[in-house]
Amino acid sequence: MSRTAHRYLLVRFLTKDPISAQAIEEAVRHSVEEMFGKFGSAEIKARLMGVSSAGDKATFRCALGSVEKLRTALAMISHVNGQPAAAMVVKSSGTIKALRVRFQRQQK
Amino acid sequence: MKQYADLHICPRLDDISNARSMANVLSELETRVVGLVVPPDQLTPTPPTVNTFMELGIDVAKRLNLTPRSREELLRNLRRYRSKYEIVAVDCGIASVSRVAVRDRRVDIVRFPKRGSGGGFRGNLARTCRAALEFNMSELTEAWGFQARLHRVRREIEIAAEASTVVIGSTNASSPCELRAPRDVAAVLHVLGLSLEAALNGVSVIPVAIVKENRLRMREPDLEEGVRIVERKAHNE
Repeated sequence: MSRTAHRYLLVRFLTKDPISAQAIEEAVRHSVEEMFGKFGSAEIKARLMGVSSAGDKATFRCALGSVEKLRTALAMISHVNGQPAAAMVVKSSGTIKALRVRFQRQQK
Repeated sequence: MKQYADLHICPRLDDISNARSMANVLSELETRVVGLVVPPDQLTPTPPTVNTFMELGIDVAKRLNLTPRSREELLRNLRRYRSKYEIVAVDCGIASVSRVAVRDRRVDIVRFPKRGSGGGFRGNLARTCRAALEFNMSELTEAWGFQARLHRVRREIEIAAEASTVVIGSTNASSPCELRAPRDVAAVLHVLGLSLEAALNGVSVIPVAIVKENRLRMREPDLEEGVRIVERKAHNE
């Protein structure tokens, strides 16, 4: 059986107050479903992999061919938990390890 | 490396802390060129907000948004302000304004607001359009009527793609939470019907070229379109 190829995105969340991983996951799921419906949501296979300790960055995984759709859904987020918010993709990579390395390199 | 641009940001010009937060986010998103909306009465002296962006290595182009109520008003404003701004954008809410704005070479960007009797961006306008059609992220992230707005924007982009009209993507952000990564704006344009290449050009190559060409035109006002200076000889030669 062939393995599904994925793409990993590091997403920066801009909010006034810190937000929980659950709120992030809920906001992204809602945005994906509003934009592409349940069928599109199943196709994109967006999954939250982790959230930074500060709660401002999150790593998402999606199907290889659905990166543009996930980026679109993330760009459409304007509120999380009722407060104004923005989600921006900072980096994208084919493996989670490369994403971490590239992000650390950028921070230096 | 691609140079990304966002040609439509409109922070309050007297709010330096807001401008600094926006500049930090733009810098993190690798946006190198921004179009800052500066009303004509605040053009001189240069607003301190401009320096806030420039301190973080962001190139600032001054932008004028025109919302004329008649063809005559548009032409009068273009004569008056064109030479003072790097970017001139026109809101085409009226049909007679749209017809002139899309053809006039002094107009860089045209926008079609959601309300108005202009009838939107139609095929006949697209075929004669010399300006770039702008898509603002704020049109989709506003709170009401998402489906209707999505349909309208999608239709406009479809018409533009059919007529090979240039489309650019911007945010129309006035605070950090309204900013978006240019690459994400390109993804939205792609999902709405543009090819990925055209969408990426719409947030990088095309906006950067608009600013570059207009700066050259401001420096050398006598040059005709398409002419560039290759070399200058000294006067005594």
